[in-house]
Amino acid sequence: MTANPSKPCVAVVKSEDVSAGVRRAIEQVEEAEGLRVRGTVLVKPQWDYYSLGWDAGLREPPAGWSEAGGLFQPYTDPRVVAALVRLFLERGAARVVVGDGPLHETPARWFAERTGMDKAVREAGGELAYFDEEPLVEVAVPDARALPKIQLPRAALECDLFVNVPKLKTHPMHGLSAGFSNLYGLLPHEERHRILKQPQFSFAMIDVMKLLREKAVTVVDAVIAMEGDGPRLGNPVRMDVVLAGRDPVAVDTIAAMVAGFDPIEGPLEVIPPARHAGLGVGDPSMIEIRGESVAEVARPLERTAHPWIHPNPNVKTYAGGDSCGARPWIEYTPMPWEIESGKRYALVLGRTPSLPKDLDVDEVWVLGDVTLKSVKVKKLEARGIRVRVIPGCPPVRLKEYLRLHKWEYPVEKVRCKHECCASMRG
Amino acid sequence: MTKEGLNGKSVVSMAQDADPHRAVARALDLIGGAGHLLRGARTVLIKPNVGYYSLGVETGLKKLPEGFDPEGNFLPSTDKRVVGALVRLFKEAGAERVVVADAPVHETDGAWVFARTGLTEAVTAAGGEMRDLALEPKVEVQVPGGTVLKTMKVPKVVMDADLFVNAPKLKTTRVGLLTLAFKNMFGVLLHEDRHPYHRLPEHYYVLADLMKLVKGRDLTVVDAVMAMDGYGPRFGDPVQMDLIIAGRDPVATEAVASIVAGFSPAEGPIEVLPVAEREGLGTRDLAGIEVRGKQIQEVRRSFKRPPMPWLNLDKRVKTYPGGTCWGCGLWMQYSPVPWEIEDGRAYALVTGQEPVLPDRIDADEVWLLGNCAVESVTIGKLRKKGHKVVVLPGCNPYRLEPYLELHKWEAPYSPVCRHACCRPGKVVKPPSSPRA
Repeated sequence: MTANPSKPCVAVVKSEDVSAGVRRAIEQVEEAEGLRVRGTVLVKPQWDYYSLGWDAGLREPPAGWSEAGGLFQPYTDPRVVAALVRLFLERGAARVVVGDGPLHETPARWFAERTGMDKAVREAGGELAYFDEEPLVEVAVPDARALPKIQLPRAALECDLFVNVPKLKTHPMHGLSAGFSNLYGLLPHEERHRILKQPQFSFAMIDVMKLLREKAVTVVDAVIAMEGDGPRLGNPVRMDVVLAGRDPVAVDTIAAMVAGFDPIEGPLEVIPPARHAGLGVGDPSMIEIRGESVAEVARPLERTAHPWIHPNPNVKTYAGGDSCGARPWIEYTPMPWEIESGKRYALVLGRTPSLPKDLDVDEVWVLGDVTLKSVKVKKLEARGIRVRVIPGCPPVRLKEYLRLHKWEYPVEKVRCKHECCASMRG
Repeated sequence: MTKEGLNGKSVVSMAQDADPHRAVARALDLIGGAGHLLRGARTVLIKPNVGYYSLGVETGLKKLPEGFDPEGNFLPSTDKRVVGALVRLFKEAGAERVVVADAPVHETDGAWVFARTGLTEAVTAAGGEMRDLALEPKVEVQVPGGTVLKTMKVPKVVMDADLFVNAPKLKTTRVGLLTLAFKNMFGVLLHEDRHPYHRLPEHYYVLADLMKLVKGRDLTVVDAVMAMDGYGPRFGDPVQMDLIIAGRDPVATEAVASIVAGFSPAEGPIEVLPVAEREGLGTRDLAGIEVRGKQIQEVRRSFKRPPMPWLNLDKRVKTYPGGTCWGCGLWMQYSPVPWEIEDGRAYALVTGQEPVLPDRIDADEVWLLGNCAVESVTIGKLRKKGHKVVVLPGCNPYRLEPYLELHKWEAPYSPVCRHACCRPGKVVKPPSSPRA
């Protein structure tokens, strides 16, 4: 039991031996707060991106980075996952199940095989759960702010201990990917795109956490963290750090500090509403840190560059007021193959943007529902301008995104019910 | 002519000295000196950042760190000693007129603010003239290559100045993360035009448009003598740096100042820089910048960032957000304000595009913040369910009077905003007996 229940504990462990680091982190949690291991333990790593894109030529490894084992990846380190499986089996769990639902409608089964995750889990004695194949159970969220009803995989609802294992990396939408944002993988593909806009995204993750808080423990994989152009194309930062704790707000708070973020700052927007929702403690002075001190292990991560502007100088951006929903799609609207040399383009986004009366371009790209409400498409067309509308709030361009990123899995028909994916539903 | 360094690089100078006058003089000397920068200019306009008149210490809004005695020198505004030094140096270098002008935030009386901050005295003693931009004659101008602002009214003195000295104070802020050269241009906008432009990303495009007005005749001098971090732009903490950063390329100067404050010019939050660079206002690439004097590594700090909670912090208010920009984000904590919250009543704050509301909202009052929310919610339905509905319109919304009351604003102000945000809030009362 906790010595001081109002002061949660976060373990911060630095160890070159990954398995030993995970063990020490969990032991600290056990000592400070107790951790009853029984029945079924569900380990939920971050299986978002299957590769860094280095093999597909999307990025080059940074100068000076040499690491033969391919251990730096966008997803949670399999060594961390395997260590957790072994540890919980040793502690008396009847079953340790490892599962997630990857991004972009990519099957979990394919992901686990492509990354070797399936082998790592089985060798450690664990079982696999593919959330896109699991039966879903509808649950009502108490005092919901974004997701009044959620369909969750039965494995998540029925487990006795929920182990949330995010990888520490930078992210353009919420600054840093840690415990809360990792819950996104629990949502069915049908429901995901709609909430990819801030601050709704943070509130949605809080709604999911409300259902799992009592049986949750968070373990952050900062063994080889990712900085810069996260969550997929960023650079490695070897930290050899594992964080763990039972209070999900406290763990994300300390993880933020380890990554050089201030927990009160803007990008970590989930922490204030998560505190407000009663999910935990976000004040570092009220958190007991065990193991190493934050100062000993902190390594400020370079943040994700995320300009509010299209990268091609032939595309002129006209912006009104916009949520972070359309923002990630600016650089993809239009895509390189949608830009013809010699033609001029305007990208229009946000609420009531200011378009010049004599807008002199060949094509206008209208990004998102909010923009569509603000722009008179027919007037533009009457002037001989070709207008391309990307609908949705947010306007997810999944098909084009997958092509640009040379996605290996052939996603053809999608489950997303949101209007952004209408053209891919078939 | 901003690229004057080796191999056509933009030049940014940094000078550190406990005496602000010496720091300013040295920073200018490193880029050629006041005389060279004047290039025969007769009228110099210095635009400090005199947004806020005080830290709120005297009204109990803010406590200074223990043992910190600023002797009146830590304020949210550009240090009067820095402004005084600039006036003196340009007068000595031969300028006929040196005018110092700004129009403080929140439609506040300039003369009152300049007197309160000690700026009037410092400027006059140095031989300059102190002016309220809001009261200056206006001219209508075309913004060259304006993306958001095309034609606009500008104080004539801004257009007439041969040299425009942009003198921001280095401090954190919530919309844009740091206030520097670009953010300081917001003070050039007339009060009646300001409120609609706090939405992101439009804000950055507006700032770049404003900078186009002075392109080619501007000089940036950043006051980092006693910088501010944390809860800027008004309530932050002092960071004593004794530093002046100067340059003729506003993008390069701002990029260097951002790094000095512990930010990266590549990262999201310093979001004006990529836009400004694309608009041809300068370079943010360190490889294209020659830093003279103090080097970045010698003076770099790690500023605390400002909090931005994206919710109303009162426990009696439940926040239901959709997707929204900072235009509404800023006002979430002020909707409602404390005296609009009655004990025993429950409140819901709804904002953004497509918020998700439960079938039964556990609230007596539903506050709809901003046009996105107003359009996403069926007000009649809420009313029928017995909720009192309060509508705060505008894109972005702006709650000027409650905000000033909450912040115990001492200065006289006269609201002139023409935007929907400043029309009185509309209250849709529930019917006398709620229909279930």
